[in-house]
Amino acid sequence: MIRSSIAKLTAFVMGLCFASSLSHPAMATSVLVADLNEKEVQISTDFNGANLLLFGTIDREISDDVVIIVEGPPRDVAIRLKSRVGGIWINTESATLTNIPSFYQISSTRPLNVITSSKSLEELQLGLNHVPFTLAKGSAISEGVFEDWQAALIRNMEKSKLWNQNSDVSIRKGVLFRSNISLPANVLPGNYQVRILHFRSGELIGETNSIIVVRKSGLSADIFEFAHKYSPAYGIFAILFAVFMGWGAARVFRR
Amino acid sequence: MYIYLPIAEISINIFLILGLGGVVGLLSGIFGVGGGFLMTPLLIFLGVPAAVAVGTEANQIVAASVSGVLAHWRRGNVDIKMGLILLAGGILGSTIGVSIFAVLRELGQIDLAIKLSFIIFLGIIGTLMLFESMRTILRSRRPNAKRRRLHQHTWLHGLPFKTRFRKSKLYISALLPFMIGAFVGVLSAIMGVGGGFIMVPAMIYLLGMPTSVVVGTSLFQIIFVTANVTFLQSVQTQTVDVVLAGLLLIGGVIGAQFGTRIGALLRGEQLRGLLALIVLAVCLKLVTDVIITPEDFFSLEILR
Repeated sequence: MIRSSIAKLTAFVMGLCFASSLSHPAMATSVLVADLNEKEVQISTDFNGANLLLFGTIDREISDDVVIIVEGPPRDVAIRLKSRVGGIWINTESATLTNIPSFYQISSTRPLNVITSSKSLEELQLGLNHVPFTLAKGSAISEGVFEDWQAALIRNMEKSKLWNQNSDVSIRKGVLFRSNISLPANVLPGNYQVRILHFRSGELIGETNSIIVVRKSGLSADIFEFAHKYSPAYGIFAILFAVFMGWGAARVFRR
Repeated sequence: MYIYLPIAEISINIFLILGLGGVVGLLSGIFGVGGGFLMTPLLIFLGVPAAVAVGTEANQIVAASVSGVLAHWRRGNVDIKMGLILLAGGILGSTIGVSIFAVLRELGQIDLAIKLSFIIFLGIIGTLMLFESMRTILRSRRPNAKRRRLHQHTWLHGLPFKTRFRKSKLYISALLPFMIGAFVGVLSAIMGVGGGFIMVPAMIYLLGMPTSVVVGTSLFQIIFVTANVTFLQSVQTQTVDVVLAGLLLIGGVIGAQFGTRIGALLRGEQLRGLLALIVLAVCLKLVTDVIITPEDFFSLEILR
């Protein structure tokens, strides 16, 4: 008990320092402090996704909300549209988008549209439907409406568990909040930006940031690097490896 | 137990991969075929990116063919001269094939191209084998039916560069095996197969080679053609996953041991009939994949 109250107190003091440096002077001051149980995720040979815990404290009033956004490294994404040609389904149209977060999780205490106005959600780019949908240079949408393509992006990213929107942030005893960040097995390596926003009566009053580093490690990282940096050598290695394995198999089972 | 495949960049159950290798190995042991034509589509069904399935299979076939050819080599069942000419065509064909593959991948059509190639060739080969084995089974019930001629002469035998192939007891144009090698090489690169399922019938029916040297010679040249594909795919598309190939191989080697024992218990035409049904089943699954209205008309690819 004593321990936890000391921790709470420390958190409170640290939060004060944070809040004074980050929050807008015109707004109500926020006391917000957060941390992650792990800041580095290794994609090693036995990697099958990772679950991280984000926790922190706020000075909560009854109308307060917390929104947590985790954004993975941006990538170009190709969206393709199939249509039926001579009885078979063929990709007939495609568009390339640029700067699409390869991972995007937004978690909040209540649904976003309850927390604040749709205008401010749009301004702050909160929610899957407000992720900037930017066409790459020279790419255009030639078929159907823009909204269909945007919906397809969101739907497919959600299906591959790379994008996710939920209201699973729980607040305990009015001050402690926690949320899970689940990185699926197909996450890309890179820096994952974590933003924690504090809303009071629909107004953003405080923000703090953190970062998760996802990197490949161990044998699988070495193999990937070998294959991409020294492709010809890798090709020769792959052949020799196969010849050796084949020869070995024949020897072991020679009757 | 999950394993993260470094090139495919997916996490997959290790026993699923070993099991897949085992089952395909079992079938290839029973039927005496390479199994690439089953393995590549099955890997795609499991969620391995089609491009990685093809690149990796080429690598695995190198190993499978090395272990297969050794026995034939010891028995002297390899026509090296024929093998080298098939190989020359195969190198040319597979090099062209890898370039076609890279272009199709760029265009976002590679998945479809792989599936269509499989549908066409599995469909043709499966149907032919099924009819052939049915006919043999029927004929064996009518013992005094007419026997087929050893091989027929067609315009194909009138081509220039006539060469003597001692081991195959043939005097034919070298262009013929070269063209067959090139054609199978293109398919090998695009489909991630050794191409034995096309090469072997072509050697028997088009070239008229004696059955005894067909398998050894085919395996001999497949090693080099798939090695060429492995190298070129590594350089051009980086789609060769050695971890996946190694796991498939371990499963495959073990499966093949049991397969050869089971295969020895069955009769040739029954084997071919059974294999034909398996081939047609895989073909049918691929056909439904491309003709059924997709759940989502849109698909996504995260580019690197």
